[in-house]
Amino acid sequence: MTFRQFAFNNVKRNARQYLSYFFSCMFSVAVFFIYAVIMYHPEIDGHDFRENVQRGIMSVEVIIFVFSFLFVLYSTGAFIKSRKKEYGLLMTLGISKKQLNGLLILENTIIGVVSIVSGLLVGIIFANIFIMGFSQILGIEGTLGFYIAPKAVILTVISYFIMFECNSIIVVWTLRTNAVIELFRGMKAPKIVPKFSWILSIFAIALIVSAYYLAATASIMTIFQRMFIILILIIPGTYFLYTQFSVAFISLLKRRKNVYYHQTNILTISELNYKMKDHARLLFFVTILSAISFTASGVLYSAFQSAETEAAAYTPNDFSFLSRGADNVAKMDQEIKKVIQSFEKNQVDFEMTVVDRKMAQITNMDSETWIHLMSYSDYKKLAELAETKIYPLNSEQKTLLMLPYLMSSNNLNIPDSITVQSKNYESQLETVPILSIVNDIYQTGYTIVVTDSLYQRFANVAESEEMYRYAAFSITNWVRHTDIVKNISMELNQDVVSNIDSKADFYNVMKNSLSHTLFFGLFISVLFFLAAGSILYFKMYQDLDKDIEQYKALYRIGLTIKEMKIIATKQIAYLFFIPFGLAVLHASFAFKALQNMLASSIVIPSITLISCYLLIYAVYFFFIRGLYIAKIKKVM
Amino acid sequence: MAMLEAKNISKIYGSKRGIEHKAIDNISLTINKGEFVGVMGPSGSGKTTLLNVLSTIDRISAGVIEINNQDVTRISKEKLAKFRRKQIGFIFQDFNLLDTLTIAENIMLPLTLDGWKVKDMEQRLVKVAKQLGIDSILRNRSFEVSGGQMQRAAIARAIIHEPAIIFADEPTGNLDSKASKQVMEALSDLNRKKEATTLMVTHDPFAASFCERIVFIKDGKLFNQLDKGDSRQAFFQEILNVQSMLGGDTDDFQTVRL
Repeated sequence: MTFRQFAFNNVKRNARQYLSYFFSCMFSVAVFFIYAVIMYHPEIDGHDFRENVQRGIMSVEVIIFVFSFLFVLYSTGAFIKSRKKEYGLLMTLGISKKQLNGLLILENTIIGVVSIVSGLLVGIIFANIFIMGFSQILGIEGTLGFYIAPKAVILTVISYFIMFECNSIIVVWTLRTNAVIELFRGMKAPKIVPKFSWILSIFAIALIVSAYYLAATASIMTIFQRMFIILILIIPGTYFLYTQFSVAFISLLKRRKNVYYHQTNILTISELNYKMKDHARLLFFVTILSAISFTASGVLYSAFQSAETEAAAYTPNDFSFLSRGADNVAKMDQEIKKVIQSFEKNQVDFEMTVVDRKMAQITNMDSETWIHLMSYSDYKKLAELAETKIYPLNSEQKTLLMLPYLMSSNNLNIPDSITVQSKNYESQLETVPILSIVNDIYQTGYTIVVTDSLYQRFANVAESEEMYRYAAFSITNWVRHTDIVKNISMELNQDVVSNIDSKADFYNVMKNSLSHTLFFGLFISVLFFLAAGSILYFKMYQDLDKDIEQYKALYRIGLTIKEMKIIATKQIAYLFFIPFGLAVLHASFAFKALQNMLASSIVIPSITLISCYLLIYAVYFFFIRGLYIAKIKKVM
Repeated sequence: MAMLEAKNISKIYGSKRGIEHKAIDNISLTINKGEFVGVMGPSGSGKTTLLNVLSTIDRISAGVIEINNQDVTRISKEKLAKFRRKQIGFIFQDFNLLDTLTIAENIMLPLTLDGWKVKDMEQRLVKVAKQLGIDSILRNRSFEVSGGQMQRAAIARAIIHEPAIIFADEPTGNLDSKASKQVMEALSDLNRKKEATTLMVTHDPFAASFCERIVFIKDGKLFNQLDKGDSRQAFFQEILNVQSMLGGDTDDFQTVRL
């Protein structure tokens, strides 16, 4: 047996312990590689208009790489720690420090090289599917060809190889050999009673609660400032929750003798007391990783799903355009005809209303702005078209002030009355705010509805340039006709009509921008999620040997295998589902913040997504539990 | 009254096509209530196997074992565990105290698993702890006390549920001579005062001299039996004599079995 064979056999025979670590490494190599393939794809590389996409991929690559680095560092460290006794034996047999370092680096290099090679292979297999999906998402005509740039391979191999080597050197460098010998000589380090501080425990709860409060009450205006504060609160909050509060909670539980001394509870709780403290940092990482993963994918997925409702909220009319000035208004019929013809040709079921609007000036608290006037009967026609509630307007002194959706969700100070003025005609009106049923015209601001007679009086004094005509269409099943609407929008004469607006347009923009982010976000989420699972698996495996000794003793005392299964299941379940539950809780407050900004309910998409994660987690849990119990049964 | 009765038991190791090894070869053994019996023999003689099969941890290949008039060779694994919990007390060479529990919690463990009320458990605890002289360390954790104290705590755990029989596997194997003496005195005290039926496997002639009767086994068979006379000193000498008669390697005479 040569030295190299020895290292190789070490890896081979520890394969089961290395397995999940290896899979996570392989997965991150594969994902990194696939993105690199797209980044260096000749049809994307070098196109100016795709620079944004490339920059997006670039940042994804950096995130994956930094994350992989930390993950590998943690895993290698934990793995080497778990084998300290073995190293102690080697050192008593006379291995020199230099040889031991060589051995460790060699072992890690083997793992690294195998991960890189298999990651590349997996990457190549899936790259084609990815490229197809990617071209679809970007809307590139025809798919990109299947081409793997040598640059992508080189980038992946070199960066990951360097990463694995750096990590092994860091880990080896920090390994204390004196401690190794001590460990081997049987100085079984006693477990110290976990300590906690009440102040920090309460502090942890306070941090989390305040972060939750900030998230739950955030609105579209405040979220960007609050996001940072929430992160600053939630991360240390979670950390102290695990290191302090969990221990405090268990010691409270221990004081309740009826619970603590109830059959196998005594074993579960006392064991958990130590495991919690031991695993606090690990649970913290798992929670944060899962929370990021849930939040990112949940927010993106929910927003993606809600594009239709959002489009409906922001754009009340399915399709609309506007003409300004008497000349254009006269020519508008021709444009409307074009639209009708096109719709009929494509068998689009639609309804249409054309209304007149007039521009006027309002004075409100000494400031002057422009608004649009609309008659009440036109308003009624539009409301019927949009199938919304018709608000009454029974006095000349009143006006319905139509607020765009974005404004309506904020408690703006709406003046009780406004003064509308056109030429020398002036009228003081009491405002009744309602939700807008016309597509917004941002240049002119609000539209107000006045009685027919009052409108007529303003119209009489209007100049040509102040006259507008607005055409609104209601299209049955508009989501299915987005392409037709898009085409027509482009055919309209832009000199005659302006402010062409449609749900389809809003919908397309939102879907497109989100689908890119979703594409990048989902993979990072999955990567984080896998890593969290891998870290847990690793820890379980390390604890297994220690636990088995204990179970053996308990078996003699008369613990049944059934009871062992219950204890083991409970302990694994806590380690799995406490971070999962907390991550879901964290994510649901993020969803609440998102909900505050969206018109549509994201309850269903977010529940769907979390259920998917839960399902994966549960499968994983039963898998690990199966392994664990099989091992226990085997030695009994 | 026989507390434990083993009739013609054998334990055979080995695969179907491989070489068979008879670890226990047709042994019969009876232990009466209140007896303190030691089992001795050279390395590989089958002492530990005998203890394991008698204590229901391992299954026998042939024969019948009755504990407290109950045939234990024909009950399911699950029921056996519950049987052990109620009828058997265990003392191990390496104590097997859980280091996540305090001494008191360790001692109460068999009762806790059996679903006792907290009050009753505590009453029992006070009694056994006083008996074994460990009432001052109940709140400590296992690694904070000495080896002798740990083993006495383990003894307390073995007797707290008042089992039919106590099995001790090299209880002095990990202890120095002073602690060994303490532990053996505690065991023989229990035996005299409480009539605790005890079966102890040991290598240590000194520890064995506390027993009332020693059963020697060699190559899985009964070899000899010794009964204690009036003097422990004489008994000790007799044990040494039989041991040298048994042969075996010199390292068998070490007090610590490795």
